Amino acid sequence: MMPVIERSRSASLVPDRLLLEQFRLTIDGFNVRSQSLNDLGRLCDELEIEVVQMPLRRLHGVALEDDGYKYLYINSRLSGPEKVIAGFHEYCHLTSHSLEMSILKSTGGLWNLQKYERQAQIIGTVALMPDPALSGLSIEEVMQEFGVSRQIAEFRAGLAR
Amino acid sequence: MKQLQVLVENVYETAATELPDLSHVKEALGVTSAFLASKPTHLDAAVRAGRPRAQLNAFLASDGYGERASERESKKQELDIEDVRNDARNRTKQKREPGP
Repeated sequence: MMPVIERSRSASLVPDRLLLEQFRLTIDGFNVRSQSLNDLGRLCDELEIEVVQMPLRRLHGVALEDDGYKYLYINSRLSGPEKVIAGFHEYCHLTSHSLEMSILKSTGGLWNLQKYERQAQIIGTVALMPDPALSGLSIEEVMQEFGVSRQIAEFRAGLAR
Repeated sequence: MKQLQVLVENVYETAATELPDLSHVKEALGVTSAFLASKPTHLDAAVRAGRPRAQLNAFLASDGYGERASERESKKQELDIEDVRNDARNRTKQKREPGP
């Protein structure tokens, strides 16, 4: 089995490291231990974000602000690990991104929206799969250990460590 | 556009480490200021409808796939967003006007 690729330091990874450091400083145990939905709930309580699980057709999660109230929706049909990734993904949007940006989505391919998505996916996958838990694991072992798809395991393996 | 770029880059102070000038990318995508000005946004619609900006619910939705959705899948996404927005509106209304 192929071991998880450890990428070398490069300028392109600097923003990823800054992002992870920001969340490590604000979330207890972030990128040290695997976060849970209970952890997410506590974080959201502190920021008065209401977490709602409801069945959705395709979307994994939605971060939404309505008249000053913040909501974090998670698709209740997802598996446990997928809910954690989706939950922390949306938490990243709510705490670090301007939701007003979404009104520009219709213009298509706007570069900063893609950047938001990548950043949120980094936070989601690292929340579930912290660095220490990945040490020496192959992609297949990551998939088995955390119950995630190959796509998610490969994305996580490709991040700076 | 320039303001938005600066705003996003300031979040993680990435201006010095990432592409400093994306004008060629924006041009290639057709995302010029003239193009953006020609596209009415939800915000424009809200303003036209006389709704204050604060009541426009903003959102970011994630499908977890990170790939372009088919027309059918896009329709599902639109329905999901509509369901979520309705649910959020009801929750906000209950918070604003709590029952007896």
